[in-house]
Amino acid sequence: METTPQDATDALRHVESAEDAAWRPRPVPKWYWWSVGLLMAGTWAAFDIDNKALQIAVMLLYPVCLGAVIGLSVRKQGMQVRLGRAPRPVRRAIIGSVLVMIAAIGVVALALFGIDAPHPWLILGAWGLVVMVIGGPLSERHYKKAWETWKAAA
Amino acid sequence: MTKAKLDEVIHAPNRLAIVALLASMEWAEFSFLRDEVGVSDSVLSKQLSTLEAAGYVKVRKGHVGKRPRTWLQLTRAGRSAFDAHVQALKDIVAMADRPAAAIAPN
Repeated sequence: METTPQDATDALRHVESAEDAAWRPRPVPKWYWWSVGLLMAGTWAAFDIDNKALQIAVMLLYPVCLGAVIGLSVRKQGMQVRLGRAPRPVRRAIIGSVLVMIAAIGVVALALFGIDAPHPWLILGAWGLVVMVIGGPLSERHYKKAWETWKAAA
Repeated sequence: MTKAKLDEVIHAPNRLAIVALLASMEWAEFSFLRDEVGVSDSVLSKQLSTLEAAGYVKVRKGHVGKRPRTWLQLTRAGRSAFDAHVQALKDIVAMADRPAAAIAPN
């Protein structure tokens, strides 16, 4: 097959625009952040009740329900991206947002258990809900900025 | 003109766009691909058949509720072929740039 440098440049442009389309920010439905937050709050509220059977049931149900929520959201988008193929700034934005949310919950958890607060699981659950509902859309904005930066650099 | 190890199956513009999109994804739905590539159902079906015959794309059919759906995924062979194809394209561009760079003033 014979290809001129101009053909190759055009083909690479096709590849670039396909990558743009794959990583273009798409709005995450609000119900997704609420569902993940409420699931977290409900699960941790169960730990506030001194009932081992309930706690085990909730621990088993949590990954199933979380998987269902994530699965439904992904199915609605019509595709699932491959994080390993993400452009570096985009990947950094995704991982960074997840780490910030984990840290926000982790720091409060340490503080609550450190000061021996009453009903720490209830408070932590409520805080988890706040982090998801507020942090989720903020992380979307962060992603959009990272994508725009990557596009501008390309 | 430059001879390079380009993949003839992937090189066609529509198929290149399909494979490039799928390369960034675990899977995608038929309708998503159709909208992003900007082709009709029949054109996409035809291109996917070619890619499937080459062993580059895996097609899975199913239902969500009562609606029939088709999910598409790039196979390992498809990923390798795409990466090699993109590298070959970059090599062609680099080879063309090399003499120009050599004579460029400092």
